[in-house]
Amino acid sequence: MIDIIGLLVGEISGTSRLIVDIAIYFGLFVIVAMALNFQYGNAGVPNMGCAVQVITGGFTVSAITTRVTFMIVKAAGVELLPFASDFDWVYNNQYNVSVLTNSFLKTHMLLSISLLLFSLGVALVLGAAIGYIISLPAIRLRSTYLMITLITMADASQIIGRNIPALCGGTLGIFVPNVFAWYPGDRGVLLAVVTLFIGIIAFFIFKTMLNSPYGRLMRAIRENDITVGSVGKNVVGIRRNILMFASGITALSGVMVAFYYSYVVDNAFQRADWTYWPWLMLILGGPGNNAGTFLGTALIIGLRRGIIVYKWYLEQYLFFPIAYAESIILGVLLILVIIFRPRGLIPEKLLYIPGINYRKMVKEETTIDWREAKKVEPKTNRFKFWGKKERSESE
Amino acid sequence: MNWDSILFWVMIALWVTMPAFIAYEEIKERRALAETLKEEA
Repeated sequence: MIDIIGLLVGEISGTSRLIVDIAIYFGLFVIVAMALNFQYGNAGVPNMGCAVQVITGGFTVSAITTRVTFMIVKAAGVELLPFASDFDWVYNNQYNVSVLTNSFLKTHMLLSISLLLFSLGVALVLGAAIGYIISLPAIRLRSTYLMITLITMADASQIIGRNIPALCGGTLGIFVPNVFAWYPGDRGVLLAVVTLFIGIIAFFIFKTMLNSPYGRLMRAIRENDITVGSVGKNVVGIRRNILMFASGITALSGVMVAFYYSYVVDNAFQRADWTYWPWLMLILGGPGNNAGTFLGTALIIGLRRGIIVYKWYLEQYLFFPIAYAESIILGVLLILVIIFRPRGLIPEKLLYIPGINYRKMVKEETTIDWREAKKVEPKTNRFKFWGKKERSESE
Repeated sequence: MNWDSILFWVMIALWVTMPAFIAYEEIKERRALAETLKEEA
């Protein structure tokens, strides 16, 4: 409390630092969890490859934004060390970024903001492209096989990143330009505000989509894709679109992760962190509604950051090594939720749209006897001589 | 000007407003659904 009050005079440390940290992680994970809710909770696409999409955002910053920044800074007259070959790219990177580029960006606010927006835009497009690519072999599969394929792709993306130095410097990683260098204070607070703001925009986009006819179509696919396919809807195409759209939004989270760490390495985008924890958030909160997703994300992030920060205090009460505390506690939580509240803390409600009584429509009984049904006379258009019907009758 | 403290409170406002808005919408929709059910009964 004293720390928070102390913040009024402008210092971020202690508890207020923890609050900022939790806010950043909440913003990052709520984007991923909402995208997952959009895919799995509403459309029934079990995306176990969220890490692929997040890593796409990270690679966008390390491979594209960093190069573009170097080119701009070089064109502005700053003597950068060579960065064309893989060797120079990795070994000269720290000096180029930390010493030369960041000091240039410190005095160029508009350029820094443009680079941030550029990264977000490119990540959105590349994320959607990756979503399309991963949907090609996987989307026609049943959900279990789809999950396995996407998990494999998440691992494959990490292996690709580790073995292609041009992407993120291989095993050594790459420092990325600090696009918040122009900010005179603590950049963590600014980053938290930007991340939460992106989260809010993502929330409104998902909310609008879910309340639209397309959202109802998604739910119909989740409930029974065969029925939806039988009335002429392209189920595979719709699933692909959902995967592409959600992938694009998830990649935004990867961009913010890269800027938060100021460093990109494939190990920062592990499957456990960026696939399993978002799934736990979704299952805990309750799939199919945004309130549940938010609650689940807030609980898990609070718990995780709390465990990490107060490990030294918890250690004396535990009978197992403290290093495993986070995984054990969250794993037990997952099991308890699945046993006692399988629909999550906030279960999904019936879709409500003002003016439409869906409950009545769902409950309506169809007691039509076809033998007693009136014969419906086909409407004939006497002026339409070239119609299909007339032709078939004449035949 | 102390931007850190301003942004900190903006962050807290965002953090509080966002879940509050979602909770408000959720409660409103659930209440409307309950009223529809009552009318039906």
